Amino acid sequence: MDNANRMEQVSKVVAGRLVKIQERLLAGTRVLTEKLDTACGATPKDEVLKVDRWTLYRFRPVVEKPLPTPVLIIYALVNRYYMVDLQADRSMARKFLDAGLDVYVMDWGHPARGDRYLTMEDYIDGYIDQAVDFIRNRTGQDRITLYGICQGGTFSTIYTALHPEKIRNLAIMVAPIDFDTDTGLLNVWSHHLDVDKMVDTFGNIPGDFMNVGFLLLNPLRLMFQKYIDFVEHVDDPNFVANFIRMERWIFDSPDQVGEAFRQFIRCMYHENQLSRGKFMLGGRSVDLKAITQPVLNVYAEKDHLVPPACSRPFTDLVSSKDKTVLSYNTGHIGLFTSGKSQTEYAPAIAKWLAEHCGQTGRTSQTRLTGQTRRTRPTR
Amino acid sequence: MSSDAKKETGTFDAGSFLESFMSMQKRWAETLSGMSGMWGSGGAPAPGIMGRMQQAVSTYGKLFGLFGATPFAAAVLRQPGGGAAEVWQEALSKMAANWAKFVVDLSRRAFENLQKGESRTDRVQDLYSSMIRTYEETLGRFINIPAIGPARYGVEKLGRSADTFLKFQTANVDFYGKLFKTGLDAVEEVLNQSREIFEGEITDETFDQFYHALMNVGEKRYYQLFTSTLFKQSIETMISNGLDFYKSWRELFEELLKATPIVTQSQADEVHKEIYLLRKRLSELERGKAR
Repeated sequence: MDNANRMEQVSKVVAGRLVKIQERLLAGTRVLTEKLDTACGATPKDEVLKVDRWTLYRFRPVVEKPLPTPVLIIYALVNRYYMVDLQADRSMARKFLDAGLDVYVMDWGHPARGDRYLTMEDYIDGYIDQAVDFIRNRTGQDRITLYGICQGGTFSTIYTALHPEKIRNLAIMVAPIDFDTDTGLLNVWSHHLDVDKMVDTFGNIPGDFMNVGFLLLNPLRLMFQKYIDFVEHVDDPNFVANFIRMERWIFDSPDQVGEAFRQFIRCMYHENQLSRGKFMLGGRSVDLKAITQPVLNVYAEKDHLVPPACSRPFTDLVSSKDKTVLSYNTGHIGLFTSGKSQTEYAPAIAKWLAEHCGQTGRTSQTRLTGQTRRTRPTR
Repeated sequence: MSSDAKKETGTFDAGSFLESFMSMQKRWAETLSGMSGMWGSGGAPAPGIMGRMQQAVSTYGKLFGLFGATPFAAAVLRQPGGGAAEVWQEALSKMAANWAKFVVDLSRRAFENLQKGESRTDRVQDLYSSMIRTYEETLGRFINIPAIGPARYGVEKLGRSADTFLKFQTANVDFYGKLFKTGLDAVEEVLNQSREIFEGEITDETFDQFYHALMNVGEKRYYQLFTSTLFKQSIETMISNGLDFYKSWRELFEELLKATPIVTQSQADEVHKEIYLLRKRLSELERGKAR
């Protein structure tokens, strides 16, 4: 083909593309300027406890008698909890409610400068313990189920190891437990972070700083391809609304509390103390072998944030007899937002939780002020 | 201010004002230079501490004159024995020579690489090292001159801010240079792979193939870059330099705020720490009481 012909072909194709893009942008302008429903957290819930910056919500049950053992969802500090309830047709919380579960979730909120001295002990032995005790008193159950997601899974694991008497089941999802891997960029880069200098300079680590780091993990796809795809589908109101919700969540990153961040990076990423049995919290050693409850370990095979090598070892480190592992061929966020999340992943997790939360440790007399008189627990 | 100017026109006369201003500068420079003569016989420095004070006053006077009216300052500074102007001239010449050498070196290496068809990320690291070295040997020396005088504390912070800013920007050049270069390398690789595609009939699908190939190749290239030692050093340096700049900027800002009743971040942090420790103690006592 001679050059003149080739140039003519290229010009035709480029012109055609430009016309299509323009048409889509025009249609997209109409979509964007009309009323779009982009609210996150479609499932009704009630605030039941508020302490400092965090809030405990209870999702309103959709069955008359929810299963006796309540589930407390603990999300990571690095992002907001409403990923579990992003929108009506992509809500893990909704699936849990449909399975008859009694679901609570902790919203860590947005820390301020004054919170910079909070440590992991304050979060785990303080706030999580407070939430667990509150739910136990409110429901009359001696023990509850913890469902920890990402860093929340790490926290839930530590909490269960320290307070096994309060936990009936432990489920973790894309949670880093063993940090000794070089298959994830965060693991690789973290060794070149002077965390002390960062915390001493910033106080709280800005959420935007964390966002830039996450975007750099795959810059072409996360900063370029994503927006090209948006333009390709900008005339579709559903797509646009879903996209805006995801964008809102992605860039709604709270600041990371300084001392807790310093501790997490040093003890976990740098020294891998948890899986090595060397981690101490509040003067007590955290021994994963103390976990004997039924455990569920969910991870994503294509997770670029928490590689499978970080999550997989969990089931070998605990002493539980009842262990279930669910791994899926998707990414970190895909577990929540992909098409299969509602048809395959969430129902499987909900099924496991329902099977294990059907039992009760209810005592015959419970007072809401927190003191329970134990009788023989019924099973 | 010359009263003639006001009488004649009733408006401000810039020429007369400048003349008066320069005349004032002349009187200051004469006074300061004259003070150096008070300490000893004309020109010859007095022994010991008196001689050092004489030299200091003389240098100060010349420097002050330098920032005053230029024609008169030049006259003052042409005094025998050399003055601040010669020092500045020598320093500026050296600085210009170093920067010129750096630019020539960089151009020569870039040209050589183009000729060889080489494309290496470590060349960007060379750029960073060269820039930092050149900065430290030239402008950096002036910025880091120890400050003197009553505003010494603030001036030093200003200097440190400028120093850390320049080093941060240099690290940014290195960091983003690597990212940009990797993108270019990906485009080059895809273009080489796509020769056959573009030699056939060109359709919408052709562009789709090129786009998807670019995404895949780019993802692979960027992953290789991100796991490389050079990049890890670069990100470490950039974050470290950025934190230094942020810290120095905040210190400078707090220095300015000291003159105001506004509470600074450092002061607030002290209070936050106290509150945190008190609350922790309170919760320990409550837990102890509950048991």
